[in-house]
Formats: sequence, structure tokens, C-alpha cells
Amino acid sequence: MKRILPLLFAAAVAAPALAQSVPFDMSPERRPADIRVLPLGLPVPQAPDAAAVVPEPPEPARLHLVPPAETLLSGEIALRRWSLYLNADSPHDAELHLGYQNSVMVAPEASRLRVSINGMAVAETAIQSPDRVSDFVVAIPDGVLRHGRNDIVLEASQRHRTDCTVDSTYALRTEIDPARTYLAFSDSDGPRLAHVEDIRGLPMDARGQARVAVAAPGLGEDATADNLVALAERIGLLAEMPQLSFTTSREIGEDFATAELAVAIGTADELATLGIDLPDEVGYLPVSRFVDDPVLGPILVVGGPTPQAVERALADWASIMHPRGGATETWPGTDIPLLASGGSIDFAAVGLRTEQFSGRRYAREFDVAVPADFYAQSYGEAKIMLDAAFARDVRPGSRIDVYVNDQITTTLPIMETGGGVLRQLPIRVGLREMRPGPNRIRLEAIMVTDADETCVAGTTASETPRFGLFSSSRLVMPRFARIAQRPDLSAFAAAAAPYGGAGGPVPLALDIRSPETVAASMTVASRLAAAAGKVIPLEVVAPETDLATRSALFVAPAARLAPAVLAQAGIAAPSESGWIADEAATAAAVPGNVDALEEWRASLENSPVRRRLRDLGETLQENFDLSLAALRLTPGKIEPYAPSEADTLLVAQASNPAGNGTWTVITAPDAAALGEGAAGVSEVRSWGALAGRLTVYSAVGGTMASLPALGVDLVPTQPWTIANVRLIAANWMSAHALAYSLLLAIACVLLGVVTLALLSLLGRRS
Amino acid sequence: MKKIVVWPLWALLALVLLSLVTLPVSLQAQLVGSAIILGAMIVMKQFRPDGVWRLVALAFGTTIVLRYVYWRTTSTIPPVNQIENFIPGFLLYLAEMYSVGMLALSLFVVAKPMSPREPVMPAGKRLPTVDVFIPTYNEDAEMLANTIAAAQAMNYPKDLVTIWLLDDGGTEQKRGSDKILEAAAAERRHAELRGICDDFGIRYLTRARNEHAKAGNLNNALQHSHGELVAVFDADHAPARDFLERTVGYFAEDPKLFLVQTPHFFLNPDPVENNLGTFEKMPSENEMFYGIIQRGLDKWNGSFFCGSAALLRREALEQTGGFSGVSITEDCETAVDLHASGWNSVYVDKPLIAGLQPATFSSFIGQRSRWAQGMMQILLLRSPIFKRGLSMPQRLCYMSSTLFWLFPFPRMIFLVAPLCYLFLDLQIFTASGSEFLVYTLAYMVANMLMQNYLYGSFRWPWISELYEYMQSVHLLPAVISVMFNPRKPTFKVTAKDESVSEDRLSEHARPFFLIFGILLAGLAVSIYRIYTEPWKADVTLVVGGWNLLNLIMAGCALGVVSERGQRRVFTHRVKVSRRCECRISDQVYPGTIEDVSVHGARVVIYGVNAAELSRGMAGEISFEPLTEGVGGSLPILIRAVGDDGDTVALGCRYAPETAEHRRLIADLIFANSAQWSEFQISRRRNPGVLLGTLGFLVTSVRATGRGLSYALAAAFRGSGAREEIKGGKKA
Repeated sequence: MKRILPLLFAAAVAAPALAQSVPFDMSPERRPADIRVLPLGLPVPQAPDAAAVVPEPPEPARLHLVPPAETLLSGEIALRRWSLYLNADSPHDAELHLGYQNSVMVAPEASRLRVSINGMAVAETAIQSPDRVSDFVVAIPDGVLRHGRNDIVLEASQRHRTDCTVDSTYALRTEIDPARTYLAFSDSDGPRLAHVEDIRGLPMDARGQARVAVAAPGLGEDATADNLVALAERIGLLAEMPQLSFTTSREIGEDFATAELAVAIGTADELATLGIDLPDEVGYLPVSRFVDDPVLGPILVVGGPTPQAVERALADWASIMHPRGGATETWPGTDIPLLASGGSIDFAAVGLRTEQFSGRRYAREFDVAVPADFYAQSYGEAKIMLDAAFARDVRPGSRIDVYVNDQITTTLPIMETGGGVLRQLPIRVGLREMRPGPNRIRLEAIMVTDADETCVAGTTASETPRFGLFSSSRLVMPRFARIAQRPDLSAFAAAAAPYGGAGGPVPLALDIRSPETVAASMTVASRLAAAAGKVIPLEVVAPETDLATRSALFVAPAARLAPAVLAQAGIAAPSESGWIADEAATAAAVPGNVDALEEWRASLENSPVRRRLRDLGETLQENFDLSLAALRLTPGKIEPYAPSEADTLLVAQASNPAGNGTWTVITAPDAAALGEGAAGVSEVRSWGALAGRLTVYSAVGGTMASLPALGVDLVPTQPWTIANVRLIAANWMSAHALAYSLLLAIACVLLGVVTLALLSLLGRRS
Repeated sequence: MKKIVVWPLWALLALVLLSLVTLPVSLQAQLVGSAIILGAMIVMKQFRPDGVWRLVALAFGTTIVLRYVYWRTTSTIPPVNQIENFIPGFLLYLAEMYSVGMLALSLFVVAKPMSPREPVMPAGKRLPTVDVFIPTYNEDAEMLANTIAAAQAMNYPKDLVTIWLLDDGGTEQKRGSDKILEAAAAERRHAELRGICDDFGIRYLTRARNEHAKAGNLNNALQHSHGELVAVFDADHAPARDFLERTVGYFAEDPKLFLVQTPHFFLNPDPVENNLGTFEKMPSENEMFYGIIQRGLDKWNGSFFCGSAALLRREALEQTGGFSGVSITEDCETAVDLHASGWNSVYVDKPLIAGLQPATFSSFIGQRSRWAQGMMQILLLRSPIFKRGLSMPQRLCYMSSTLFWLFPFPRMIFLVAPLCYLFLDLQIFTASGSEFLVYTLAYMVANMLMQNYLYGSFRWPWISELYEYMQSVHLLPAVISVMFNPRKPTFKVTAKDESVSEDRLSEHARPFFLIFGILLAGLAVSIYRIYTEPWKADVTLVVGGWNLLNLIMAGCALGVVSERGQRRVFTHRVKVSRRCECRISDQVYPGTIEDVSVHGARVVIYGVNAAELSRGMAGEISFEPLTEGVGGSLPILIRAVGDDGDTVALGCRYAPETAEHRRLIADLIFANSAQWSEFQISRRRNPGVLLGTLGFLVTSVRATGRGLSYALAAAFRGSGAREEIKGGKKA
């Protein structure tokens, strides 16, 4: 803490320089030269354990900074932005610790790493640590950090040591070590958990996780189960962590000491059995309050004299759950702007700024969200109205690419020579990859020049701008169709759809006697609440309850689910799946048979006719992205999915047997796997990967795979308007090209017949 | 009563189709949809669909066209802020939309053309009196004599028919001209025509001043005559014997009928047919109009007066003050006025006159300029779409006929558009290669298939485009000048008796060579750019392909303006096969007249020694005329002798001296109108889009070669050939 550096002043001066608003010109890039480069990161001794780096830190005083998803800075320019909630008032003496390592190709003299907090540059360094993780420590000036949300930006500008090709830019990587990257506070100023609101600033561990240990002596009773799920939802909604997982037990468990948040919940009588200090009023009032346990640290006590009072205590949280930001056009729980049908947004509003770029691959990304009932994947097309410029030496063959969720959708070739200014140039962006909820759009400008061809020494470090992007560029979303699809796990993940909508309580079928199952449900419920941006009224019911006519959630091991529920969700019965090792089933696959079949298939597939057909299919696929699936008239039959041993968790969605609601089934081979799987799948990135009718999560490697929904029911979410119906039809027909063609043909035939009838009535008769 | 059901049903279906068509479906769905629909159109084509299936196929085509229009309108117009792209891009868009609009109007007009009408014979009733008007301005006497003879031979009670030769070339104004040469020529003409009229025993009429051109001439005649019906024949339009028999009857059927129009059938090729050599095998240009469009118009009571070959009711004409003379196409204008006053028209789809059409490219252009300007005048001064009294279908019909003449604008825009990209690098059509393929190509194919469904055996693929291109180059300025000054154009008589004595370039050829050169340069630039700018090779390929199409058209045009010299005046020879006796040097030989033309006949005689006969010998043929009251023998001159062993074939030229001789010629050529129909039908076959396109390509390559060789020859010879135009230069 004694490293008081002259950074304060420097950073204060640097801030305006970073906030560029210079219009594009061809003069050399104005670099933030006023920032002093700090020769840091070197003196820290190499240590295998990150904890040893900092002398005796008191636990709460260290706040891990980087979620696991944001650790990689790749390419010539890279930017990571996220927010960190701090529940400490203007902490003094905070320090930023940054551990990073870069690939060997990054040229240190031309590559820089910058950290800004709340728009203030707090650190900048040359990127010069190719062979090990370097640590880099700077003091954060007073007044930069604040109570509440803090905007963290990690920015790298990297150049290759020798190579001038576009390909070489992919070799430029700087990896942040999340374990060694954190904010350190002096004891008195550090964040602490004192009020329920402070849950917003829940710290995460080095892996980006926050664990919540809940002691509920009433576990196993219906009322307690409801309260636990309600508690989890509220915590999930408040904390907005990249990953939040719950454990629960009847007494204070071992994990209480290590968990990021410890909670005791129950009636006064129940809580008394836990042997912790309790607030006095818990005996006669609903209470939600932190108590400081000398051994275990802060414990959140949620209680009251009766189960209803506990419920009431939770309901009282509503007063602190005010919507964040207050703006209605952001996606719940994030800063990501929500693009409604027919909306448009400036690049400035999605965090892109006007800037110039001297490298060869300019890449910037931003997030926009679309509603859960977005239904335009098959036909929709957004537009980027691009304001940009490129320099005289940029060669034709350069291009601007647009990616949606990492899939390329558009390439705009640069045809002109001699530079050019693009003013509101429309770039069409297909919405095929767009999904309900937040979507990442990346803009890449590949700018090649003759100088790159020759690549004399020092070319890569050149600072002559080649490309400029103006923040006046816009993303324009057309009016798109809005109707919910069933099943659609991506809408479920994005907005807890259809459960997040208004309506009565949603049945959550689970086995309340299994603590793991309850904990898994809590983990899922916390993520669902975060996705919905509100507390969803969930009502815990037994798995046996008849829910055929209702929308419901099922969280249970496969064996505890009724076969009818599994069948409805398109999951094979446990006896047919790899979840129950069935020797007879394995033996059934006679190897000889399989081989012979395989040979037959191979020989058939190589027949000239087949090959020709396949070539045609590939041509269509390549040039028009047309798959034979689009030519089907009827949806394929849903084959029940037989989970394999490697699958930790299954999330499946289907309509209920009555066809008037949605069932979502979250299941695993056993209760332990259910807990592990729920925690894994509720990590924010994994959660976002839920899609189709069924997604499998494997704890080994955290991989996920989805099955597309074959037959989709459309569930109206909007009032009937001709405009919406038309767009819905457009999307449906685009996905069912053959049906579209047939409809056209039928309409033509009928029109022809009626025209003839009409013509015989009109004019002269021949 | 049925209408109450059918109309809403039709509207509903149209709405359904329209809403399907305007769905913004993906490119993939569009690809599948167009492939299936075009496939269906092609398959149905093989069964030569008629009735309902023809309409279904047209609905298919319409669907594709509407999809294109929707896409073209919503996704391809360059942004307004790129003004250099937007302006040409929008012009191109307008040009395309004009084409689509014209397609829509044609679809309406020819939705269900009238089947050929049963002839209504006027027998049994009291026959009306008929005045036959033959207006003339500068046509030569020989031609007029043929026409008069044919008119006199018409089957109709002689006392009910009065034939009038209306001479505007011998008016007092002309005869008293200040220019002595003109005055003398007019005087001579006046005397000569008077003589012919006296010979034939018909009425000669001229007037004081040449006011209001042809309309004025006809109106003058209306004042001097009093027949109930008026037949109008141009000076070169000789009627068949059954002309009146087949037309008069309709007037008794419908008291509100003002017009029976019949097709114009030509015995000689137009310059395009002549120079491309297609006259004998391909339907003539005007057959699309007379074979389909007039029948289509007839369905909507919208067939209009075409200046000649028609029978009109005096009562109707008098009601509207005679023939209208505001525009230089008085015929169509008169029809507009009469239709608007509640009179009806009828079209008889059978050639009942045979005439001549312009043989040189210059006179062809002169004729078309008059039509274009006149129709523009009607559009601007008469606004048929807003004209009270016309029914809605009639308004659409006249819109179709007048707006058609705006074609020079889109034609020229289509020519220039690809050059904007090739030479100037403008991006006037924003679409990717695959979109272009899926939408534009589908549209083009659908358009060609629809044209083929509509006009298949009357118009071969690409021929419309060729004719339009040929005319556009010279019509564009003409049409523009009408737009600025609608009352300016004056009537010019089209010369139809010019001919070309030797191979030469038309005096209107220069711009075509210039355009060909520019397009050729465009082709060179396309090839160059495909190799030097591989990153946009796909766009260059598409645009270069379009330019190549224009180049093929322009190449074909070179052949058209390179006029073939005619050793003899080429007119169609009608096969007749009539027994005759041929008297040469006081010897009479039996023989057969095998074919006849306006100028001569081919006679095969028996029992003669070919050596005794030689070119230049005079003779006479006599045969049994089909016309009552005609007799005698026809003097001839032998022009060629062919020895076929037992028989000798003689090529003869008529040497008529008296009206009686003329009547014999007319009897040979014009007596039997069935032969003309047969000739037309022999040319009417539908080669289909693919074969038609290939055929056009071959024609074009040949024509390009011929055009270039003529140009080379002309360059060596200098421009001497230009003066050698035979016949009266009158335009």
C-alpha cells in the first residue's frame, strides 16, 4: 500500500485524451502520450500461488476483477468492458493488481495494455511478458472508484513483431490471469456485506464464481422450499454475478466459511437451532439482516416468527430491487440496449467511439439485445449505416466484415482505390444468428496495403491511420416479427420466457427432500430471475403433480421424473440412456453388423449420382445457405434423446400435453450431478448457449450441445396486427420454402381459374 | 348476378397472392419459390396450354414479376446520399417499372383475345350504301390504279358503291404553288389521276387547300359524299373481293357500331425483314398487333381505327365532326373520340387488304416517328385515361397503346446503364451476385416465358427488343420534341414505294455503328476488369453479360441498316395456280399462272420451244376472272425464260394500258384473300424461348458480319451509293 505513485496527476490529465472525439482525418493517430508508462510488473517475485504475491491481505479487502469470460485480448486492438459493483464508499488507497501474459509475437515497443475505470485511465503498460505471467500494480487515484457500479475497460493495442499479414494478427494475444488480477483495498475502506443491498457487490472468486451457502433448518417442508427458491431468485436478481451457485443444508455447513455469501433462513424457532447470533426482532418481525459472526463472518439472516413472516421478509426486498439504470430500452439486468422492432441505435450509444486505426485488422464489438419473442431468424435483415473512412493506400481487396454472435454474416468488399469516405453506407446484416436476449455484433475492417506486401522493418508499428470509424454509424433494426416459439431454450435463457411473463405462479416440480435438488433449483431460479429481470412467482410442487395443462418447470434427477414427463420433453427413458449403464444395451450393438452397414452406406454415398446430388447440395448450401431441411413440408419426427454417460445435465423444453403451455425439464442422472450441472449451466456464457429444444451440458470441459427444435408451436405474445402477422408469415415461409412455393402455386392456380370466370363475365364474349 | 360473387372472390385471391408476394422472405425461400414456379411454367409450356391453364401460367409469371418489383423497390435502389449513383439508379428503376407497367397493361389487354369472328353476311337485309375513300398525296398512278381496280372488284351491288380518289397532291394550293416545278408536277398529277378515274369510272376529288392533312382530306370527302358507310383504303392498300361482304354485316347487327377494322397485310418485307432475310419464315412485326392485340382490344370494345382497311359509319363520324385532326395519327384519335361518345368498334381478324410497307430503313423510321409522335399527342392532348365517356377497360386499352410509344426511354436507359458501371464505376443497382441471380434472372426468364405465352407464334423472342432498339435511336428525339411541343408535329406521308437498287448503308446507319463501337469497348472493359479487379469479378460478369446482350442487339441492328440491294422489287409472290392461255407472237399456248405479285407473274406454258422465247418479248395472257364483269386479256413482257423440258416457265411483268388490264391484275392478286391468310399462318409457328433465342443469336452474328462488311465497303467506295435511291423521294 505504500506504493504511492505520481499516477494520480498523470491519470487525471490523461482522461480527456482518451475520450477521443476527433473527427476522422489522416493525420497520425493521437495517442495518449501524456500517460506515463509505468515500469511495473517486473519487481513482483514469481510465485506459484497468486495469494502469496500480496502481503497478508485481509480477505474482504481483495476483489477479483475479471470474469473468466473477459480475460482474452486478441488481435491488433481489443477491448473488454464490464462493470463491477462496489459496496464501499469512495475507497481510498485502492490498488489495481493486473497479471497478464502475452504471446511471443506481440511487439513490446508497439503494443500497449490500458486499464480504465469509470472512464479514467488508471494504468497503461507496454505488453512485454511473453514467457510468464507478469504482475503490474498501480494505485487507483481517489475518487475514481465509487459506491455502486464501476465501469471497467481493459484495452490492448498490439502489433506483430515481424509479420504484416492479416493472418498474423490472430497470433496477437494477451491473456489476463483472473487469479492475479484484482482490486486491493486497505482494511477500513474495503467492501463489506452489511446491508441486504450489499449483495449487489458480492465478490467473486478467482474463477469468477460466487457461492451462496444457505442454512435452512426447515428444509424438506413445502413452505421452506418456496422460501428458498424465492430467496435464490432475489439474490440472483441483486447480485448479477457471472456465476452464482447455491448449496443448502439443515444446519451450518462446512462451506459457510468459504462461501462468498452465507445465509440462514427460517422461522425464529428454526433459526435458533443453528447456534448463531440472531437479531432480536426475528422473534416478532420479518427480518432480513446481516449479522457478523466472529468465526464465519457476515451471515444474512432471513427470518420471522412464522413461515409467512419469512415469506414477508423476502417480499420486503422489493424495496431495494429497483430497476438498474432506470432506462427501459436496456435488456433486464444489463447495460445492453434493447433494440425493439424498428429501432435504431448510434454506435456511440453501444460504446463505440470515433477512432482511427493504423493496423490491418480493425475489430470492435458491441452488444444489442432483442426481445424474447424475436422471430426473424429466417428472413430478417438489419442494416449498419456505416460512417467510416479508409486511407489512400488501402488496396481493393480490403473488406469490412460483420459478425453476429461470432458467425460472419456480411462482407463488404472495398472496391475503390485512392481512399474513400463512407457516409451512412448501408451494410446488410442477416439476422440468422440473432437470438433472443443479448447478441454480440463484431465489426472487422480488414485493411491491406502495398506496404504490407513488402513489409519492411517497422511497418507493423506504423501509426499512419488506415481506417477510421465514426461513432455516428448506426445499427438499424427493421420491424421484425414478434411471436414466441415453443420450444425455444434461447428465449428461456434470455428472458426466462415464457415464465417471465405476467401470470399466476409457475409450478416448479422438484423433490424437496433432496437438498441437492433444492440447491440446484435455487441455482437455476437465481439465473432465471436475473434473465427475467424480475422475481418470477415460483410455486414448488412435487414431481408427481399433474401439470398437464400448465406451464411448468421440472428440476429433478431423471429417475424421479415420471416417464410421461420425459417422453413429453423428448428425452429417452432412463432405461434406454447411458445414464443407467445397461450392459444388455451395450451388447446389442454387434460390431460386425455396424461395420457392414457402414460399408454399404459409404459405397452408396460415393456412387456418382449420389456424389452429384451431394455436390449440388453443397453448392446450394455455399451460395445460398439453403439446406434441404428448408425444403421439408412437415417437421421431422422428434427422436427422443438418449443421454450418454458424459452428459451431466439436460435442459429440454416442449409444450405441455394439453398444448397450452410450456414444460421445461432440467434433469441429470442423479441429484449430485444435478447440483453440479445446474451450477455449470448457470454460468452466464453457458446459460446463453442454451438453444433449440434440448441442450446437453457436460461438466467435463463445460461443453454444451443443442438439438434444434423441429416442429415449433408459435405462441402469440403481441396483439394481432396485420404488420406483425405478415412478418411472422415471412419468417415461417422463409423457414419452410417448399410450403411457401406451394402456397404461391395454389394461389396462382386459383387466381387463374377465377380470372377466367371473371373474364367470361367482363367485356365481349368470344 | 354472377359478378357479385366472382369479383370479390377475384379481389380476395389477388389480395392473397399480393400479400404472399410482398412477404419479405429470405433469399433461400425465393430461390426455391422461383425455381418451382419457373419450372412449372416451362413444363406447362410443353402442353401448349389454353384457356384456364394459359391464365394460370400467366399468374405464375406475374408472381415472379411482382416478387421482382417488390425486391427491386425495397432493396436495390442506391441510397439518396450517393447522388451520383442514385440518379442513374433511379432512372433505371423507372425504366424497369415502365416495362413492368406495360407488361401489366398488355396482360389486361390480351387476357382473353376474341376468337376470330364468324363472318356476318349482309344477305337478306337492305344493304347500306358505301363510299370508298382512297386518299392519296404523292403515290404514283400505277399503284393507285391497282388499288382502284381492286376496289371496283369488290363483291357488292355496284349501284351502292361509290369510289372516291381523294387527291391531296393535286389541290388548288399545290397547283398554284409559287414554285413553278411543284406547280407543274401538281398540274400533271391532277390531269393524270383525273384520266385514270375517268377510265375506271370513279369519282376524282381534290380540294382548295391542304388543311389538316389526311383527316382534312377525308373530311372534305365526307362533305361531298353521302353513303351510309365509309370504307377507307390507303393508296397502296388494295382490298380483296370479299372486303365488304365480310364487314358490312356488323353494322346492321349493332346500330351503335362505328368501325369495323381489318388487319393490314403486307406483300413486301419491312427493312428489318428484308435485311435479315426473315420475311418468308418469321411472322411480321405487325402480326403481333393485328393477330393478338387488336383481338384483345376487341374484347374490351377498344379496337381502334388504323387509318385504312376499315369500314366506318358516317352517322358516327358526323356526330363528332368527322375525322379528328389534332394529332398526326388521326385514325386512333378519331376512334378515341367515337369510343368516348358511346360508339362501338369491331375487329375482324382476317386480312382483307394487301398493301405495301416502307422498304427502306429511312422511310420505316419516318413512319414510326409519325406513329410515335401522334400517339404521344393523343396521350398528352387527349389523355385517354381521364377521358369522359370511355369505359375503364377502354381507358386502359388506350393507355396501353399510347404509353407503348415511350419505349425509346427505357430502351436507351437499358443500353446506357451497364456502361455506367463499366466506364464510370457507378453502382446503380445494389444487389449481390446471388440476389441478382435469384431475383433478376428469374424475372427475366419469367418475362420471356410470359411474352411467349402471350404472343408465342406471333412474335419470336428478342424480336420486339430488336425493333424497339432499332426505332429508339431515332424516335427518342422525336418523342422528346412532342413532349415539349405537343402541337408541333405535322403529318408526313410515308413513302412505301422506295426501294434500294444496290447494297448500301442506310443514311440512318451512323448512330448504330457508333453505339456498336461503344458497346464493343464496354465488352473490352468488362474483360479487362474481370482480370484486373478479381475482387468484383462477379458484379463485372453480371454487368458485362448485360452489356454483351446489348451488343448482340446492336450487332443485329448493323445488319438491319445495311440494306440489301434488290435486283427486282421484292414483293411477296402469292401462289395462285390458275389455268390460262398465253399468246406470244400470235401463238396461243395453254398454261398455268403459278404465282403472282403486284408487278408480275410466273406462268408455266406447255408445248412451246423455249428457244423461240426470249427476254423482252411481248405477249398476252387471258384467264377466267373471278370478278364479275371483268374480261379480256392482260398484256405482259417476258423478263425471264426457264426451260423445264415439257414446260417452259416464264417470268412476266405486267404491261397494263387500260383500266380493264388493271382489273385483271387486281383479279389475279387481290381476288382471293384466303391466300394471304395461308401465307401468314405458314409463318406463325412458335420456336419457344430457347430455340428462338439461339436463332436470334445466329441471326445477330450473321447480321453483325454483314453490317461490318457493308461499312468497310462503304468506306472504300465513299458515300457515292447514297444517292442511288430509286423511286420517288417523298418523305
